[in-house]
This record gives sequence, structure tokens and C-alpha cells, in this order.
Amino acid sequence: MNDLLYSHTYQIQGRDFEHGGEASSDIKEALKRMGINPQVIKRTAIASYEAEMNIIVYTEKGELLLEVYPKMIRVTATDRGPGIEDVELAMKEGYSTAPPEIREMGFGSGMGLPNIKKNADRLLIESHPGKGTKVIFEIDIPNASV
Amino acid sequence: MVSIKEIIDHLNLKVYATGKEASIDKGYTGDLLSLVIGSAPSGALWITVQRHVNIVAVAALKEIPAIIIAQELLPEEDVMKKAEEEGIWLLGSPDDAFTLSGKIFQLLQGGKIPR
Repeated sequence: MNDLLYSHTYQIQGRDFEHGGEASSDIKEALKRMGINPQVIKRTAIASYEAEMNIIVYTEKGELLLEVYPKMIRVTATDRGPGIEDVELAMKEGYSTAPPEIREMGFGSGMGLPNIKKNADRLLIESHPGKGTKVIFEIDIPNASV
Repeated sequence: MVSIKEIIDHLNLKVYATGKEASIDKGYTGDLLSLVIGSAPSGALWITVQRHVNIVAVAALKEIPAIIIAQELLPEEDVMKKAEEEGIWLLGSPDDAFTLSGKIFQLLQGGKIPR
């Protein structure tokens, strides 16, 4: 599991809706170039987009770290944002702390973290209110298709 | 399969950004981006009332070749520019999302469009 095939860190600027989603698009392209199973790429892209937009919507800045191993992909989203008060509640579909103007844009519908969970094989959230949040998710690559 | 150009023609759509030529056989209507990211099939035509720049990122990520903004809502210029850069059609119609979806659904079924 330790033979890292590829890794890249993407810096994400909070409130930068214009470039929001670009890191996830780059991740998708990188995985395509590596010839990874399309279903795995699709799931990784959806989960990465949600993690990326969470950083943009809720924090000043953060980063996404992509790591590709022979049997799985790991994405670590780290930010120094406000943190999540109640992670269990945040995992509930439809629960959101987004302000109205963010919801009007079609974000903050309370489906981000549930969408990550749905698409990942493993999800770990570490959050310290006032300090920041780390979201780590892993997606298995079936039959070592790399 | 119906080409995007045929759809533009039949529905008299405004063209805000010209994308790559493509043929469509499915569509998706929705405004919550998490739902679009999670549920829109790739290759689908997307009907929405959202018109901020992130819709282009969503479309690019989902390989959606064309976005139609309903109810004559105008996108900002940066949205048009971004769509053009990504090769995604950005289109507009005075119809509401329900009417647009109905018309396009019929067109994709091989039917005629009620004008």
C-alpha cells in the first residue's frame, strides 16, 4: 500500500467561485491519463468537487491532496476554516449551515458530505471548531487497474 | 440523437457561448449543484436557472456539452467567456425549465416541437 504512484497538491482559494471545480477537473484528467477505471474516476471527481466547493464556500483557503496508490485513491482536503460543530449532524442529508445567498447559487443544499460518503469507500472527518477541518476519503481501484 | 445545432434551431435558443459540436440523447433539469454533480448523466443537456460561473465547472466535470439557462435569465460575461474556453455551449430561452424540458424531451423522442 505504500508505493505511491502519483501525488499532487492543489491550493484552493475560499470564495473563488470562478475557479471552483478546477482542482477536481485536474484530478479527473490526471486519473484519466493514468488509465484508471472510469467508474472510479467518476466517483473520485464527484467527491473531490464536493470537498473543493466546501473549502470555497465555507473557508478562506485550503488544499486538496491527491494520492494515487496501486489499489486505491486517497484525497485529503484540509482547511483552516471555521470547523464543523457537529460532524454527525453535518453528515445528514439536507442539513446545512450555508447562508441564503450561497443557497441561491445552488450550493449549500446539505448534500456535500453525504455525496462524498456515497462515492467513497472510506471517509474520515477530523474537525476542530475555530481551527479547521480535514476530510480524507479513499476510493478503491478494483483489480489494480492502474 | 439530436445535434445541439438542431436543438438551437428548433427551440430558437439564444447562443451566449459556442461549444464543441455534439449530439444529445438525454437531458437533466436542476439547480442544486450537488444533485447535478451526483445525478446528471454525462453527455446530457442541462437545463437550469443558475447562471453564475460555477455552472461551467460543473458541466466540464460532468462532460455536459450544453447548458440552457431558462426564463431569459442572463449570464454574466465571465460565464460566457469561461464556457467558450471550456468548449461548452451556453444557451438561453424565455421558456421556463418545465416547458423547455418538455420540448426537448419530445425532440429527443423524435417528435415535433410545439412552437
